[in-house]
Amino acid sequence: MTSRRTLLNVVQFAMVFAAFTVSLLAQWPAYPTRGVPKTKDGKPDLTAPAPRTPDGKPDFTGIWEPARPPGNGQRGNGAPSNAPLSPEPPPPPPPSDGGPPIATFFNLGAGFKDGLPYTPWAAALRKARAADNAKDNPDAHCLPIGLTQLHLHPQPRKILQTPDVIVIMYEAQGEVRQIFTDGRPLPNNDPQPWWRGYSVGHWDGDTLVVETTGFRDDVWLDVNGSPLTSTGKMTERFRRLNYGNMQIEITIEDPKAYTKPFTVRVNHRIMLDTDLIEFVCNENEKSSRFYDK
Amino acid sequence: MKVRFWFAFAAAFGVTVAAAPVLAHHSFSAEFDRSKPVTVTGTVTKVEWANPHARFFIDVKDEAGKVNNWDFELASPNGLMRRGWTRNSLKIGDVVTVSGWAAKNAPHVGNTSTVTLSDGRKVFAGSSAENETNP
Repeated sequence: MTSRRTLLNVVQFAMVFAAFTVSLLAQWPAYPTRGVPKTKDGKPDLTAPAPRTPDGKPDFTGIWEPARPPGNGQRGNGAPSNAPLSPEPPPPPPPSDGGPPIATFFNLGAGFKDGLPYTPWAAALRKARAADNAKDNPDAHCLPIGLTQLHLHPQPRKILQTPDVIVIMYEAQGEVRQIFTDGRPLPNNDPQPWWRGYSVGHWDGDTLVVETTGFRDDVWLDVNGSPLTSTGKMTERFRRLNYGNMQIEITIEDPKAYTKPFTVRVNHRIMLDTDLIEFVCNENEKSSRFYDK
Repeated sequence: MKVRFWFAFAAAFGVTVAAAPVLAHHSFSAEFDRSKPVTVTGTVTKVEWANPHARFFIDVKDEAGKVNNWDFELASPNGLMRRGWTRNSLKIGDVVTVSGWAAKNAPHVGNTSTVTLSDGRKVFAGSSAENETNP
């Protein structure tokens, strides 16, 4: 009797498990991440040391998403799927370690008391963009969205690290970025401006320092329209704090748009057992027909 | 006890698929008016499961008896899939009640907040409680 009941339980479990498995597999390509450190009770140990490459560098390889503490300007998990945002999300709390303010997808300067140090030209441009409801943000027209919006976009990004180049594949807009770590300098031969600029990286201990120049004149640093121009330079400092967490500090210098350099922080956390999903923005872009003119 | 176990099992999956945020590729106010909430009931005529936004269309009879085909915008299929919804979650012929916000400048176009089937099940919603009815 007991064994029959056990058998029944096993069959029930198998049926329910199969139902869930099939439905999950039908939804997205889930597959267990290999080499995840585990705690004693078998759960992923996100505070385990960061993995390293054979040459001893911290290995950033993996799939990442922005960490979302409450009040960082992004939508909470319980919100309706596409609800209107509150007009002014509360600014994120300052980092407990005294580091630079946390940036948000909507406002890179959300953590600064007085906002970003715009030049008069940039302040006027940002005001005009906000008055237009950000309808010309490149993202809203399926165009590349720029490095800071990519850092903060909720869609995942995948980092592939080799000794000579680090590649970041972004699900958002299907963008791809190369960071050359083979010792080459930034180009100085008047290169063609790019949406994502030209990036070279070097190691400062366990910190990956990436410098990028060669931006277009019409980059939007955030959804609200903080500009970046062809005179801009971005310096990012990537640190993989442990297995589960990465911190990026971004310094922007751009004399056309900002009166002084400023630095903000973005926190990322690892995503396990998942992968990027194809995202082709132009396959059915029908929203822009209805944008407020 | 067994029931509680299966409930926990389902809830765990619900939480898992609810963990990803969903975001529009454009700002809400570029297209929609937060002062114009709408709730309409009608029959699904088409589902477009494509990026950057999934959309579905429903025939809605207005007060004068005229049928208008409403165009409702959802989040991206990628975001919806991470919450556990699929291209088959809503079917042509389903009768649904949709709540959302109307477009600023286009008639019979809306942003979607909730979609409720005639049997009370909700589809495309984001909260973990609503995900427990996920087919």
